Amino acid sequence: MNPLFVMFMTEARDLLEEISKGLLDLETKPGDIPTMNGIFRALHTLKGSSGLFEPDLDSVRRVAHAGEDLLDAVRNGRLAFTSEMADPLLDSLDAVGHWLEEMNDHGAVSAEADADSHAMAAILRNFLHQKATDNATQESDAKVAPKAYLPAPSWLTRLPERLQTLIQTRGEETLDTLVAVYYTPDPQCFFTGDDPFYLIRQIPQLVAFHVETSTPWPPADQLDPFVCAVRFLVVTETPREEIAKLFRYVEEQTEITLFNPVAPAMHPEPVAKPVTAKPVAGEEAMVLRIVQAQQEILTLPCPPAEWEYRLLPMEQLLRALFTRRNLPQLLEALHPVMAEVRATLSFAPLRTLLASLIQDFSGSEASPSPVVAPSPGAKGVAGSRERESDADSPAEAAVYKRRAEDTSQKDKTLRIDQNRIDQLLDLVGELVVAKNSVPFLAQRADRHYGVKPLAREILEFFGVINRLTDELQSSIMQVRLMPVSTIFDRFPRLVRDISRKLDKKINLEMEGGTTAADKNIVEMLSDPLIHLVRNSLDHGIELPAVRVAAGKDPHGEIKLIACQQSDRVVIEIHDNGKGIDPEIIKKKAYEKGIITEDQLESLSDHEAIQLIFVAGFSTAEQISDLSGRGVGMDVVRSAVEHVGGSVVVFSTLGEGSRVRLELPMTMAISRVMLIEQSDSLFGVPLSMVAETVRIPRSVVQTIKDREVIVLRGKILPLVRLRERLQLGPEPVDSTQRELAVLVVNPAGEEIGLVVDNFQKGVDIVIKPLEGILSALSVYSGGALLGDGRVLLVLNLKELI
Amino acid sequence: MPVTYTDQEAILTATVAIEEAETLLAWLKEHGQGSVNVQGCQHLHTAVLQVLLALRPPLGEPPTDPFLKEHVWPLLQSDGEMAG
Repeated sequence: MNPLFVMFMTEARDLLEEISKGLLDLETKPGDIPTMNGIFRALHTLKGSSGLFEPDLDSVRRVAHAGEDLLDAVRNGRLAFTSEMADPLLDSLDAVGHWLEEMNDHGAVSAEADADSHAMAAILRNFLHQKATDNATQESDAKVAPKAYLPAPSWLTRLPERLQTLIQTRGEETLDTLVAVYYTPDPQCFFTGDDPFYLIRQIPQLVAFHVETSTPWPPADQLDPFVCAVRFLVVTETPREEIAKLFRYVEEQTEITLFNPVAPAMHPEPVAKPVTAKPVAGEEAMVLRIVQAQQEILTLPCPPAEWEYRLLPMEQLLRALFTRRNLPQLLEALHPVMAEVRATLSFAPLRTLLASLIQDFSGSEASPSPVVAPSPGAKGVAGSRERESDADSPAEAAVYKRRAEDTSQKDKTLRIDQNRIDQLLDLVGELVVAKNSVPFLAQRADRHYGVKPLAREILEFFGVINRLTDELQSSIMQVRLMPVSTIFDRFPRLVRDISRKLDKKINLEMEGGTTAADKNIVEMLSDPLIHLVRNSLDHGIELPAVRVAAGKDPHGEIKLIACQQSDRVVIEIHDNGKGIDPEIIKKKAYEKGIITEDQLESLSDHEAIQLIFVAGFSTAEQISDLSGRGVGMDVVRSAVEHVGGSVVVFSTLGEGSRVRLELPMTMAISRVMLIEQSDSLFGVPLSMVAETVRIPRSVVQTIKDREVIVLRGKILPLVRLRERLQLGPEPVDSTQRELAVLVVNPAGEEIGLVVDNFQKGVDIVIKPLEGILSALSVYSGGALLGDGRVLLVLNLKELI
Repeated sequence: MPVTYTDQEAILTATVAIEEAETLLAWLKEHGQGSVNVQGCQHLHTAVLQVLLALRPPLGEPPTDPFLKEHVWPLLQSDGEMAG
């Protein structure tokens, strides 16, 4: 399962819940602006995020979009919110929820979803239209009354006569609906690389093509060729769905209308051109049209109260039709079908009958007469029309209602506040610490109380607790693990956008997206990675022309690789760009005063390019003259080091660069040694402690004001923790004759840290200090001890 | 080079990209009587199409590209067919 989808699902479920709650609230207090805004935002987010999964979730996006438009109208006061509006909205939400669960369970949305979503969107948008027609009363009748004839958009009359005739003829030939597209490209669209004309050319089966402008062309002197002033008027036989798909990125700039080019016979408008078909074909065509018209009527929304009014005339009409065409078997079939329709409260049986009728007509009699043979495009439209109606019938709607009740049980994901997990982690940490005191208890039982068998039993029991706590600890860690793909998934878009902006051709490859790391670490990675990738794009990969000149593939390559190496997560960003020139880096670093003249000579190439991570190395003005990787690379390093990781860059001049990030997989429990100083407890990471010694005060010598001791023949400088932490002078009554010295090795050199006393080593969860304390660099973090005390862990690098 | 300019004629060939729009416009402004040859043109960017629609230069033979010939050529030929 795509992890991005998993995230989307949890979000979408919340959004759906939020929307339904908001809609219910809105019913009780219509006009509540914050609620309305909340619903609108949630729908908007849902629409946006479902767009990530197109075409799979096109249905969701479509319905959300329609809902959003409707709510927008309500929000702007163009439309009043009514309960009639809430019902279809809630139904659509149920359907959306259902599709999402389908997608979640089966990886695909059922085939009907597409048509259903069209129908639902139509119902929702109908409210908008109703409003429009209420204002313009002359049309309202046509809208409310069931209509089979889909009028052509008004702009069609603006087409040159030659094209209008063409459409008319085409319509008579196919006897089916055509699709009209009015496309108003964004005036600035050329700057985003769009070619609207090219898009128009992608429409298959074009019937008519025309171009118009909103204002007359200016004189040549004032014409700005880079502002798109044209609009496209197109009529095609391609099914609406396909057109909508083609124009899905400019949806709001296109108006797609399904229309009947030929007015039906009963319509007062006469057919403009004399019918060219043979008389017999003419009647068949009319029958077909009538049957299709019934199909259309069935697709229109119908309140249950009006059912009978719709059914009755249809029944009579069909009966008359079958008698006239001498089709007794159909006449017989009609009655049970009508009975079934009334019994089940679903138009479905009638639709099936009509569909088979249409097929009979066009199938059996098509060959002699081209008039009734539907074009492939027309067939698609008719087919989808038929399906579109499914959701309209009460029976179907009921299905969605039921599903809405089921969905809550299906959700196996639990959304938990991160704080709770952190709290659990803290508790586990404390449990680990507490567990570690059990062996001491066993020791006491043995030595102090002299009960050896009990001591042994305690130790055995300790083994069990030990195992369980370890498992518990790793389970909690697992909960916090997140695949790095959650951030990788943003890159295709990022790379696409940037490369377009820079006019570079880039292939992005990503590997190891499933590699998991602690949530904090993955989240922290996001910004540095974006930075690194952007740098590679901007300064690493050359322009296609430059690449070709250098004998390279014009397409640059950027590779993101993640993998796990023992308990570390390694992420590498490769590019096959121009690489980093160590000489230029050295020169710049010297000019900036980052390295000395000696270093200029002695630094190896590898060492030199690491200088890009040094704070103060990069400033904006440098981007242009050196290979550029620079802006804020020190920020990348400090972010990575903050979570205990490291970053290093490799590069071959002319062949490319590779940045390698190494990070801990988890903010795991670490082992520290407890030390006492001035009645306080401090922790020192055990990994830094080389040994602990107790030495008599008398052996301390002084060399040039520094205290040193000689330990096994080597001079060991001493540092007193009391002085470093400014904990005041040593008490005068200090009776200790021995000094406790911690031999530590923080920076490649052994140093003796003088403390009051050592204690045991413990396992703790180190947490970074927050607030005012975070400025104290001598502490790397704090932790809670088993007994509730706070332990500060020393950052020896800073301290010494 | 998708557009070749001579003293009397701008010859459009293959796919004419947006970059040509400005040059073509400038050339047409400079050569008031200059004609545009679209015969070998396969596709022209919307921006270039705009220039032709706005300035209506004399054109030579119809394009060989079927789409351009069927749908665009009549539009470029007729005067005043453009809806305002």
